[in-house]
Amino acid sequence: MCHEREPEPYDPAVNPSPLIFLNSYGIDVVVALYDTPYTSGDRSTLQTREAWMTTFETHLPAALAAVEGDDSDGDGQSNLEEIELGTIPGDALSHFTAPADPTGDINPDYDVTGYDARFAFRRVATTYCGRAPSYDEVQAFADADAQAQQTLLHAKLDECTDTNYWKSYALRRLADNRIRPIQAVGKYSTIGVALGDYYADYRLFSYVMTGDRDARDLLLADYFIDHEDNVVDNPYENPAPGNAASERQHVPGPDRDADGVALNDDHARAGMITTRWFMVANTMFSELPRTSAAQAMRAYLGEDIGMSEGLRPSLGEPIDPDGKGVTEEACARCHSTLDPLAYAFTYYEGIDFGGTSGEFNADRPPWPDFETNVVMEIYGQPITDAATRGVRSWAEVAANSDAFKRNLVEMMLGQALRRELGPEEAVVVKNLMSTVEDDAYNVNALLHRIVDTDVFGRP
Amino acid sequence: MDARTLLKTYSRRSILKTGALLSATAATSQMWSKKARAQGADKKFLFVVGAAGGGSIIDSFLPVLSNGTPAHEALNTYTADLVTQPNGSNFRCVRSVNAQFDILYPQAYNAAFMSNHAAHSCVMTLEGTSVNHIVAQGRSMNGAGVNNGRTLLEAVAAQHGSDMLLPAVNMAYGGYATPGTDKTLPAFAREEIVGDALYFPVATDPIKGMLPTERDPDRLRPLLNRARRVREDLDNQSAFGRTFRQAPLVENYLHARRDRVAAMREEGLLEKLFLMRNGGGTNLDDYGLDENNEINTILQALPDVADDPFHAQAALAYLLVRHGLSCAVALSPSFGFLEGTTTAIKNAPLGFDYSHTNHRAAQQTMWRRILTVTHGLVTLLQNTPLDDANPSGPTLFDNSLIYVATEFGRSKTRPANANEFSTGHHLNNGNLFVSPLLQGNRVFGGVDADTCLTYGFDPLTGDEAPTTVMREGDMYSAVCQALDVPFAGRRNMSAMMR
Amino acid sequence: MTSTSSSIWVRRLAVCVASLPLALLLACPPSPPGPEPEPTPTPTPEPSAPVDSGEPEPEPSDAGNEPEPEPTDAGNDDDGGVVVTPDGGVDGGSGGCVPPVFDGPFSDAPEPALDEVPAETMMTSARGHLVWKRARQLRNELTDALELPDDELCKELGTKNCYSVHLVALGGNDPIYDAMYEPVAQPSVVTPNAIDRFVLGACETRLQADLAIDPDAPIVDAGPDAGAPPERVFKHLPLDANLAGCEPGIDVHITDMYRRFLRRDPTSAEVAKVRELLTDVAGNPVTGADFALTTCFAVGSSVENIFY
Repeated sequence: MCHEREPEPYDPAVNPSPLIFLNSYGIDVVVALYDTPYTSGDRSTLQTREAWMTTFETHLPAALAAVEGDDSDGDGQSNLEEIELGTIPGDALSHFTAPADPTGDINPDYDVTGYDARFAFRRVATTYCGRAPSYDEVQAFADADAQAQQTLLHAKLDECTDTNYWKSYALRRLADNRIRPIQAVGKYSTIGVALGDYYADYRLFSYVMTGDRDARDLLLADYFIDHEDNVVDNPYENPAPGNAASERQHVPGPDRDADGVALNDDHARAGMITTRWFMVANTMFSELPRTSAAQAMRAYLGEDIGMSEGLRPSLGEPIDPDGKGVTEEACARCHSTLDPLAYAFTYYEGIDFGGTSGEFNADRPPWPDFETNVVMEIYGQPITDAATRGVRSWAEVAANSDAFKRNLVEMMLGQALRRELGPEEAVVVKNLMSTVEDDAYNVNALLHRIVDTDVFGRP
Repeated sequence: MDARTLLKTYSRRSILKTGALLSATAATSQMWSKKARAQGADKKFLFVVGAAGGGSIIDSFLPVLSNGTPAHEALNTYTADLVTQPNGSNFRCVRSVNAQFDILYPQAYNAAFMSNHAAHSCVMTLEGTSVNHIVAQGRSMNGAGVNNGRTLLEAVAAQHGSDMLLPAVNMAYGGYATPGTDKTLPAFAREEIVGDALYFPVATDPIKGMLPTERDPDRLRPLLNRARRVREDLDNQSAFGRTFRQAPLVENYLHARRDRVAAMREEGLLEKLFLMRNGGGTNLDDYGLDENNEINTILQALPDVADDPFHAQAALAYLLVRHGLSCAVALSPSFGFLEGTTTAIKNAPLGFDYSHTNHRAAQQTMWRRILTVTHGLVTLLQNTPLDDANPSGPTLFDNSLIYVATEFGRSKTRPANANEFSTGHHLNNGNLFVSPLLQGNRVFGGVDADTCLTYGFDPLTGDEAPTTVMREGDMYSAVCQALDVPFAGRRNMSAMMR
Repeated sequence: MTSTSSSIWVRRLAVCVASLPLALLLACPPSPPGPEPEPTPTPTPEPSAPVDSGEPEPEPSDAGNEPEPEPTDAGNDDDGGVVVTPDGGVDGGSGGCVPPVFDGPFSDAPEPALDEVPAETMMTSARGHLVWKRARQLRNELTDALELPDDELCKELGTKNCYSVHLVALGGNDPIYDAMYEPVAQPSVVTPNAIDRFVLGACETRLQADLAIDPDAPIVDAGPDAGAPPERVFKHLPLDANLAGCEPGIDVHITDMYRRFLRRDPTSAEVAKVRELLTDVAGNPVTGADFALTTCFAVGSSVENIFY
């Protein structure tokens, strides 16, 4: 947003001014910060990273507000307009101009000036049923009045979201990059190395995203869906005696899909990000599973920390208990957010050939005095207490966050439009986000709103 | 919505796509005609061979010789009898330690490879930044984002492929096929993802081979061509076509269907790229197809094209470059288990990641796989002139760079003196390059005998720098420098250049 | 298609045709027949086994070779029967069939230069945001339109399922065996070929299936469990005969193709354009089978069927 390129460490001999890394918008923001200790030259109060971050964060909102009405890059759109549209306010080449309204003779087949119900009806069927409506359906729709068309369109959507195409195919394609299966070590491994069952993850994803259920269960579900689509609270009602992992893997029961799930109490269950497969695929053998934390953010909050998104640093972090060098300035920028979340995932087994993959283990962190040394908080939530230790506490905050809502909206709108969302959809996304809570995070309700939008139904 | 959330919303996903897409589309409407076999001397070619699963450099071309101490016995060091150095080669090459382990019958190929290719091979030490397969595979292709998110294939294609039909082709597995994230990439440089190398050639023609000869395709082909012509008129005149003529999807699709397909047919891509043979229940003549007239030459170098996807990928990679269709190709074995024969497993389950079960057996099995195919590819390139009109002149290989990518190394410890042990993922490693464009017969960087950790080098002088490590961006820069691909932020790796 | 009687096969086409006056069959109607109550294509029901049946093999994937069930949702309209109803009155007094005059010679150039299309005077889409109909969707619609099982639509070299071969180019992805977690964002340079081959292969499969059905077969009582008798999809054309160009079934067939693939009726201009396929490049008549194949291919692979 503010930088033309990544800033390098301040070194008077090499980089006389950090301003050279800023674009026009960044410079305007810095100027607005001028009267604050951040740039006044009195850096005596900025000897610690914490002080630096606190000062910057304290004064940044006011600085941003001060320049939001300006047009820093001179492209004809104010900084605020560009931010709301998603273009870069410091880059004149980055701007959005809405396409001109169509002109010419009336188009008898497509209403290109607004929402075209016939066009939308066909799109609903193709998107959610996986096939266009039949000729007879199209004719009946065309013959109906506007109100009847609305009824038919939404009825079609209801019909489609109950099909196997939607539940067992289309939703699973949405889940692919969130689950990331590896056939060689999945349930049907041909080499006898079944580390987990990603199909359990697919079932859970599809279940939560259908049936008028609460989508927050993507992060909060404390149940599983077995291979007969039953909701299973605890796959081991009568756990085998003893604690040997090998015994716990083979509990008999006709409805139990033991291979797919990890044995965790509710306090350690957090939907898709605490499944056995999630830990197998992401934590693997890591002591500090930063990859798991990053994937949780990317998949369910839409924040790619590798692109500096979703930064919510915990002051005092990173501590770097495993000595990976993440306290270096270039690394700390992101790891001050990532590492605290990774601490929560530390308590879950990754790949364990003894059969405990994915299980919560309070004794797993190998570093002495781990919990007293690191900052165990995420979103201001403490996670040192045994009852709240683990991913659950993060998930409860994350599931109710704006980021979760935005990701949910973008996921479903992106699925419908099959393109990366841009400035044209910015307002639509914002409006849909405001409905998610009122709709109790019901994905079907969200889809009903999506199909009524201009971006969906306008040719 | 809080300001921070709002700020995050699209700020790094801003799009200028429409203009870039259409202008790039226009650029690709040039005719790719008779220049196919006359490659310009300035054309460079990149082959990325993905050693999927974690190919360890200290188990191939940079082993640490054991000094017999308990410390060394607890590290992944090799006794002298397990290391050999071919005549004229500066590379220490690891030999097999297991005659058999479980399902693997590892037979090292490292020394044999260097006997042939040491003069134009080099090793560069490198320490990556992720131990996750998918993430690390992607970073091995995009240099951890050093070039605005462009993959190596995209960067090379953007530089050298504007007049090619399929500039960048990616047949590799998993994260090696992750597209780049640079929004300014010209559309023509986007990677063509190929899932099935053996059958891909048929996708270069809309009709040929679809109808059996008993249906008299010679009679039907003109009828179908007329149908295509009628379809063009229908698409121009239908309400849908008229309403959405300017839609980028339609515009680009029609352009591809009308012009690029025509170019592919005119170039005879299907015939040039075809890899299938008669036999085993397949009679090509039944579908009006013939074997490629180069197939025998290809099979001498890559004998398992019909049954082994990795061989088929390498064959296709060669043909794509040989016919001037591509300048950047990626290939890799998958994680799938290929049995082969009882004494020669084609592909270990999980590829190099079978090291979790038996490290040395997995490494030798898979290095053999990687190196035999690379050797086959190099052989084909070495025997093909860059310019048909100058058969005794430079070869395709002279302008090529083969980068053996891998996601990470393996852990460095073992039970005392063990030859069978398991290893995990480890950031510290190195990569093999095979190219006359780079200094040959050389290791850039070194390995610490006390830790088995590799260390870096001065990229300008080539001198070892034991307190440093090289990163993905250094590797990316070296490849781009060798292939004449400039970009802002490219690091100077002159020590590696020939 | 639902039989009115479960125990008796009824050759509706033969019955209907036989009931029409001979003159109607031979006369050239001055204009294409109007729309008729064409039955909605009824796709083949899929097995009802759950996706994850717990069985070890085969593993569900998107490679096109798994028993993933998808109930068909294209509507379950009964087959109301095929009745050839020419538009209004037909002058049958001329007796013999006088083929339309065709102007030749026709260009056989397979890839015409993209002619300058006249500037559009009516309003067009300003936003231009269409969606690509990807692999599974396209396959679904081909199975609907051509009434074929999805795993029998098309085979490359007679062996490998086209859907699997061209999955990536068709916009699909196999996350299980290929570890491909996202499909390609846009059609690739070979996507048009992949679609052409897929559609052509499916049309050819349908044609061969039609040719194996004898529409004049005698009525056979095959018992209550026999199910509906097979019926040709290209039933409006005499597949084995050269087309004179004036058969009323031609325009009915063209309309049928539009309804099956594009779910709408063709305009008269579109009918006239498709009728150009009634002759080969030398102006000679083609057979009903040839016309079925080329029209199926042309309509089925038009951009209107690729984007929505």
